[in-house]
Amino acid sequence: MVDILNIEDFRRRRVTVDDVKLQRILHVDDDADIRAIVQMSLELVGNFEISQCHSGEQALAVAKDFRPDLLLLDFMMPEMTGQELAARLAAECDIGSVPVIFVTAKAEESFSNDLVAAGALAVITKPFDPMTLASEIEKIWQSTPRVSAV
Amino acid sequence: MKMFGNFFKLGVLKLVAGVSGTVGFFLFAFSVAQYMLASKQQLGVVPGRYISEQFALNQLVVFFLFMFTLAVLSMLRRRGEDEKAAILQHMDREIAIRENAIDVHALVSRIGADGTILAVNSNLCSCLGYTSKDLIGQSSEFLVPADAENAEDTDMREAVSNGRVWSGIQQIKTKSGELRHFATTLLPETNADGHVQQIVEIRTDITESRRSQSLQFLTTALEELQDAVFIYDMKSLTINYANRSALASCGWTKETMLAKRINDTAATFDAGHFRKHVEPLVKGEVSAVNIEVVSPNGPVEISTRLIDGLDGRPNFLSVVRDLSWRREMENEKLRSVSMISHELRTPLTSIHGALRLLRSGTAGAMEEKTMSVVQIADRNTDRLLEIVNDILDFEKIKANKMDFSHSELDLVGLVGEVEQLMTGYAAEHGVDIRLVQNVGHATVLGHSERLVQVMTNLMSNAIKYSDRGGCIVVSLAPVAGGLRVSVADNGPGITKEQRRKLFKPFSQVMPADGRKRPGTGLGLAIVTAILQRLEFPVSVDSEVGAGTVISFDVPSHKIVMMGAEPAAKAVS
Repeated sequence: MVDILNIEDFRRRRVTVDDVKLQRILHVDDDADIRAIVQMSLELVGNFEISQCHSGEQALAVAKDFRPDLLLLDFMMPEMTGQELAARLAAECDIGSVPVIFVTAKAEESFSNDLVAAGALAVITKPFDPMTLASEIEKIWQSTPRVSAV
Repeated sequence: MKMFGNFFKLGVLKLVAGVSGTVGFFLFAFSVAQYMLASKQQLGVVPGRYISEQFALNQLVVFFLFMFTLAVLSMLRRRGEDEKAAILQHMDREIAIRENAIDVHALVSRIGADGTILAVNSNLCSCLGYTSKDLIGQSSEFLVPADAENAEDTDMREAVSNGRVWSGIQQIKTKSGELRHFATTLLPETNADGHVQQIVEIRTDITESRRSQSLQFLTTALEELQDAVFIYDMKSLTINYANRSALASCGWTKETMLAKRINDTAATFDAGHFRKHVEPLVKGEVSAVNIEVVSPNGPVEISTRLIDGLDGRPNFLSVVRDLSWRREMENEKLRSVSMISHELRTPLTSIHGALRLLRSGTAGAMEEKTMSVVQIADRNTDRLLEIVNDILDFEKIKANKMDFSHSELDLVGLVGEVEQLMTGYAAEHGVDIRLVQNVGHATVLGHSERLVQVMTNLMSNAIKYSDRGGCIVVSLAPVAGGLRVSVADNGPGITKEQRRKLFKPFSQVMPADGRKRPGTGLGLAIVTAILQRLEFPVSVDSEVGAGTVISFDVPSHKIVMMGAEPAAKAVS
């Protein structure tokens, strides 16, 4: 299920998470309502700066200018999966190694475990609680091992 | 024919003998006269004629010969009459034997012209349960009422009144009320002018042969059944009957099956397990026991009952039904339900999220009335999500997609955590949770998330079914062979019959108080499925009006450490 070729990319990004405060999040989801909920949750509850895209193509277009600290990607999207998008963002946009959190309706643990093993920071399953989403992301961010970029 | 031949021969012989006797007499008289004349001639009294003395003597011989013939004939005649008498006697005897045979073999009665029963034989009486006194003098309709279901009734009446023989099937009720079938022949006896004088009724009881015919039919149906059927002695487990499908499943023939026991049907047959399985049946607690097992040919359901064998000894009757197609169908159903549930998750996330934001006031302040409406929507979205999650969980377990890997976990701590988690829910229902821990610490092998799921389900169930102001008891106690975790409520309880349905998916059992509680009917199915995978045996104890206790045992081989003191002390 998880493309093995991407594992190295993810690993590299994980170890180069900078010891910076999490501020800018790029959120990609094809569902407008989910985008609205996430926006309220992250902006109003969490005070993050957030940029939202409805498709992978749009994300590829805005990513370089937005320079996100974190990618929050829906996994199941019509054109490309969140994982494919993460790989293309890393390869095509000059944004460095940005850590990824996937959001998915798939609840199988094995699926989540595979994504994390392939380098994702974490996997958040739907339905999530908008009141705690921001703090959950913050917690994940804090608990990630920090290694300064070489 | 022989008889008439004899008569004929005797008649001719008599005639011949009569004629020759008469001729002989005249010849004799003539020859005596001649002899006397000849004597006179010799003396010289009548001259001129000569008759030889020799001729006269010859005539004498002829006479005696005729006399002899006559004697023989009369003897013959007497013997012929004797023979005739013997033949008649023989005929009489033959008729008597035939009558006797009919009398012994069949049910015979005679009916007068007016329809009164004139005579009955003992067979008829004993078959119908009447005495001859009961029947003689009664109308024939006493036995065969005109309104009985004898379809050929009118046909029969018409034939008999016209003096024709009638044969057909009749149904007659015995004295005890049992309806029996008879092959019947009615023989009317007519006088010279064609009037029926009496009717002889001859019947044969064909009830048994009809019954065995229908049994034969049923046996054929049993043989053709796709399900395998075994009938075997309760004590020795020797197989008395196996239908075609059963024989095929074991690779046996009718001949090789003889002397086989039910133990021989599968290499993995465990007699001890079997005896335990059928125990409630033998004790008469249930009418049938069912079990699902995986045979080499796929999953099967075995339903066993107790029946009386031909020899009156108790026999087990087991029907083995192939479940593969049903499993396949169930899985298909579950897959589609799971797909739909999956699709529901995304919109539910939005609804749930929107309502949460509204409730929290993040999206702006709300009036109290508006808030209460939002709360209703939010609460029910939670319920909907619970259903969706249950369905997905259940499908995951069934499809082997759930993780059951074992690791060491602190069971006492885990139970305490779940209890903490449930306090809110319990308070909403006005129910107290009491924790009774007879072990201080217990490290067991299991899957903590799965066990949390089990405990959450059991406790929320117990709370749901408790009355306001009631209390549930969660206890941990060492038992023979392991550690028992049980959740008890003092709710309405369930009946024994319902207990078996309790763990079936989507089968919410109606509690004894008749009040249905919200839920998917999947909770306990998930609990059992999980406990089965973890190999923790489950048990239910419930009595109507006295609450329900659901427990599971952690077997001793899965207990790493267990002690009376709390974990902290044990470590130090």
